[in-house]
Formats: sequence, C-alpha cells, structure tokens
Amino acid sequence: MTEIELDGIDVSYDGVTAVTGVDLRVRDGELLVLVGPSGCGKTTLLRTIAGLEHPDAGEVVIDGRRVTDLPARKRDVSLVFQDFALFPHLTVRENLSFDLRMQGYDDADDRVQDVSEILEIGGLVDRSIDELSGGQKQRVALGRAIVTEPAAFLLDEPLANLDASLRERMRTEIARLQDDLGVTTVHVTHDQAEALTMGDRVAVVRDGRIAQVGTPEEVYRSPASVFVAGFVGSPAMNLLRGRYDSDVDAVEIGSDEDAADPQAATAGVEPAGEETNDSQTVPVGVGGIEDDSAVVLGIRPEHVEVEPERRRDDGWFDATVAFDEFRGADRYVYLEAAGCPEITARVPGRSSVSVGETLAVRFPPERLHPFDADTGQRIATGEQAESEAAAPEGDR
Amino acid sequence: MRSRLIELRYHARDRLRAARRYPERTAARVATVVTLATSAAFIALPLYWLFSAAFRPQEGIEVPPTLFPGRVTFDNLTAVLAETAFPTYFVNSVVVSALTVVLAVVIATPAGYALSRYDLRYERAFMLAVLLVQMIPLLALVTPLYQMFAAAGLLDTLAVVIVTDTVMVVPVGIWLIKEYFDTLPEGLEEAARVGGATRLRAFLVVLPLARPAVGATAVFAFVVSWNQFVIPLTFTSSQAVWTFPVGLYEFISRRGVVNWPLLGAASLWAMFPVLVLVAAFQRQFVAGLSGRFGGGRR
Repeated sequence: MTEIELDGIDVSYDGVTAVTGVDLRVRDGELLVLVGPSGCGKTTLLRTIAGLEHPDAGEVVIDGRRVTDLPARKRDVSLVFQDFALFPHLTVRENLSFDLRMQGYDDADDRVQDVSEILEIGGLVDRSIDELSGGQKQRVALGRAIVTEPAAFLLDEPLANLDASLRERMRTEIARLQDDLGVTTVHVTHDQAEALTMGDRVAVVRDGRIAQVGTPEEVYRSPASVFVAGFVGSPAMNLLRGRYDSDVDAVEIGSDEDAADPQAATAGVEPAGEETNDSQTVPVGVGGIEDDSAVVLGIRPEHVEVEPERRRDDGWFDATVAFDEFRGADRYVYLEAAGCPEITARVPGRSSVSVGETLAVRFPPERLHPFDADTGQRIATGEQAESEAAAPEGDR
Repeated sequence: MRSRLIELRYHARDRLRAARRYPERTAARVATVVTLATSAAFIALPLYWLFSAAFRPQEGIEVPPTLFPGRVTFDNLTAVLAETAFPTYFVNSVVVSALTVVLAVVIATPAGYALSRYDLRYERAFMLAVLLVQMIPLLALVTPLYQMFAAAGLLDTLAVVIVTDTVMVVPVGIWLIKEYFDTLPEGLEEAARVGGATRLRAFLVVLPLARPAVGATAVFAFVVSWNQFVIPLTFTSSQAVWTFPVGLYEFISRRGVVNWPLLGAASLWAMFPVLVLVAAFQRQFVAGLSGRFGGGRR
C-alpha cells in the first residue's frame, strides 16, 4: 500500500524556477506517467520524489510518511535512470546486488537469482557492464530497481536511449512487470504515445506545472487546454483560431488574427478577391460560448470529415490537398483552405487522394474541442467529449 | 634486400620530384626538421654526456672530450652505492616522495570530488585561487617559509620537505581530479544514493572509476617531489636528511670541479624509479591528464 503525494511543490535551480505549486497524488499500485516537452520540469518532479532534489516549498509524502527532509537512501524508492547509471566497474551481479548490500540484506544471492530469472538475464550475471547491449543494460537497471522490492519505482525516461524496436518491446515489458509486481510507479517521458500506452493515468506537465491529470482516454478525449490538445495525439490535433458568433452558433476561422486590434481583425490574412472566401465558418452547435469571443477550435485529424465531391451544405467548405502521407492503415492528408492554417485529416489508407485535388471538408460539431483563446483553457460546453464513440490510440 | 633498395630509390626520387615542384614547402620542411633536430640535440647531448660519464673510468674524462668512452666500466655505479652517502639520500628521497604522493592523493581526491559535485558558492574563485597559488614563484616563498618553519622548529627534518612538496602538488591534483569527475556522470552516485548509500559511501563507490586521474596525480606528485631541489636544499642542513638532488650537489666541489663519473652514476640510479614508474603508468598518466571518463578505457 503505497501512495505518493506531492503537496504544493516548488523547486528552483539557482533562482530559476523548474517546478511551481505542483499537487499530485499517485495512487497505490498505479503507473502514473509524467509527460511533457523537454525542460518542462517532469524529471525535476521525479527527482524530488526520489530525494535527489530538495523542494523550496511543499511536502513529499510517501506511504503517509512525510519524507521531504529525508535523504534519498531512506525513502525506500528505486530510480531507473535514462542512461541506466550502472556501475561500469562492477559485474552484472554486483550491480544487481548493489542496493541489497547498501541496505544490508542478507539474502542478496537469492534475490539476485530471482530477479535475473524474472528479467531473463540469468546467463549474464558474471559479465561486465561494458559487454552488454542496450536492452540488456536496461534489464539490469530494472533488475537493480526491483530487487529490493521498494515501495515505489521511479523511471526517468528509461526507454529514451533504446532503439525504436527495442523501445516498443520494453514499453510493454515494463508496463507488464509493473502490473505483475503491483508497485506504485512514476514514469517520466517526453513521448506522448508512450505515455498513452503505458500509463494507468497520465499527468501532462508544462512549464513546471501540471496541465492535466487523467486516464489516457480522458486526456486524449477531453484535453483541458490548448497545450494538452496539441501535445497529446499523433498527428497533432488541428487547432484553429477564430471568433465565435452566437447568432449563427458558429466560429469564423481566420477572423481573429489579433483580437485586441479591430483593424487587424478585419484586415484578414491576405487580400483576397472575394471577401467571403478568406475565412471559413465552422458551426459549433453547442452553445456555452460567449458571443464575439476569441476561441481556438481543436479537432483531431481522424475526426475531420472529407468527401471527394464539393458540397454547398452547411458546415462544408472546400480545401485543396497540399500533401499526403500513406501510413499503411491510414493516410494523412494535409489540406489548405482559405483563411485557415493547414489542416491535417486522417483518412483510411485505401482512400485515394491526389495533390492539388479539391475536397469538401467538414468539422462535425460534436467532435470539436473549444478553447478560450486568451487563457488556453477548455470551454465547458456539455457532454460532447463523453459522446465520442471509438477510443483511438495515440498513434498508428 | 634488393626490393628494399628499389623501394628506397623510389621514395628518394619521389621526394626529389616533390621538392622540385614545391620548393617553398620543402624548404619549410627542412627548416622544421633542422630546428627540431637541433633542439633535440641541445637536450640530449648533455644527458648523453652525463650518462656516458657514468661508464667511464675515473681518470677517463679526457681533454679534449671524446664521444665514446675508451673503456666501459661499472665501477662508478657500485662506488656511488658503496663509498658515498648516496644510499641514505636515496632512501630519504623515497620516503619524501612516497609520503608526498600519499598526502597529495588523500587531500586532492576528496577536494577535487567536492568541487566537482557540490554546488559551492565562489567555486570558480576558489579554483582560480588554487591555480594562482601554483603561480607564485617558489623562490619568493622560500624566505617566509624558512622563518615560519624555523619558528615552528621544523627545520632540518624530512617532514618539512614532505609538507612543502605536498603543498606544491596538491593544486594540480585538485584540478586534475575535479576535471575528471566533471566528465563522470553524476547519475552513478545518485543511483548509489537512491540505492541506500550515504554521500560518502557513494563517493567511495565511484572512486575506482577516477583511477586515471588519481594515478596521474600520484605520478605527478612523485616526479615533482623526487626532483625537488630548492626545498630540501633550503630547509635541511644535515646530510642525514638530504634527498638525492641535494646529495648530487656533493659531486661538484666548491672549486667547481665536477666528478663526472660519480655524478653520472648517481643520476642514473636516481632516474631509475621515475623511469620505472612512468613506464608502468604511462597510459594511465596520459589518460588522467587528457582524460575523460569512458574514453579509451579497455
């Protein structure tokens, strides 16, 4: 029974703030993934839990015990490092038994034996670290972490140094191992796909703050902010800035280049021949948005509706194919429409499009994610997020 | 043999052709070679003179000097050991150098580590200060040090030589070890600490990895203290505590007459430990001086 609690954590290095006011609770036995772009403070958070950083403010509680001022060695956690941090002058066996020896276990040999069997590195125990491949080193590093049966695992981008195919395999392996052992785990990664596949819950970190915490499905289906929307999912969500008009319950894309300056708003993007053609009107159909407010509409590429024939009905507009990528089961189509930034659509791989072709495009209102353009926060509009049928994975 | 000659002839012609085509480049090359050869001779000839003297008979230093000894003898080598106080000087030198090495390593290693790993205020200033100490000319320090040691009653002991030698080598040792630890990933100690080690224990765990830098510091300390002349000359007066560089001075008489054969023999004996040490630790020494962790190991 191990819960990790972070309470109002602030960490800074030489006066530069790395983490501010983070509250986070890791539930017993779950695998929580901290994900965010590099430099967002996720590794700092992990190191704070491990005891390698001391917070300027706030408390770290492990298992109901306040450990903020305890040194790393007394916290009963284990940490797997990005570069594995195996001792190059010791053998595999000595590396595996290191924590046991430091903590004074007397059944070190048996435990090393068990762990090396679990991780299938029994044949390697007498080798030196230099003789191991990347994957084997990874296993030894994991072995060293689990051998003392700590209260919690902390994994700091343990997959970043592996090649792509191995990374996929270790991803599954770590998630499975964690599930078997049932140990509370915090996993740090910058890879949103890894976060979605591995995590029981995902915490998206940005600029030293938690942007959103939730299950992978929650984070994917109802991102709390423009940042989360753009960060999670591949290809990235289309984000279109515009101005909401409550009379028609629609957003005019491209009509809000600069909300503060009315002249800029009317100036449009570029002088087009027909005025009506340099912006697109996207019906939102939900309400709850303030009239004439600047909004960002998000729509996942797989939710963009594309049809070969031009259509003049409500909500449809024309777009030209700028580029397309065949991805096997899918095809990513990059579309250009007047007044819009480039739109990515994800269509079945068997559909055929050609560059330069004009297609009809529609954003189904129930799939739209509206955000406040100024705060970046999601605008609560009802139950649209829950109404989504399929649960698409992060990529592939 | 024949093919070797053909090869040589080919190379010679090739060179000539090149020289004719690029005369400036050839001239520069010749100038370089001549300069280097002269410099080499400048250093090597006195050494040759000294060491060849060791094998010449006492009466054999002819005027005009000859390049090769007329008769080779090993008498000087044994005479230095049997008939002079040289063995005492040699033992003193070994004691001084060994203790200097131990002290330098014991002081410089934790200091270099701490400077590398801890966020110390004024760290840069401190490192520069350490280097500046090294830049003060020794002779400027001799008088004040003499007075301090006299006041402390330490004059004319081996201890005073050891302490002064240590102070002279520790700054370089600190720099070497600090720079080396800077290249060693800190994750290793962090892994040890999370795994249950105290900071001191973590330091001891990774210490073997710093062997090249520690070894380089030890070799440096040994060589510097082994060759130190001014310090023992100034701070010691009784023959019983002379180190061999001071002892070598004995072979030059007050009137400036040099006993070349004995001086050569003593110098040969004195060089021996350094040669052995450098030969044995050369790779480590170079690795530690130029070294980064992980580069060129194994």
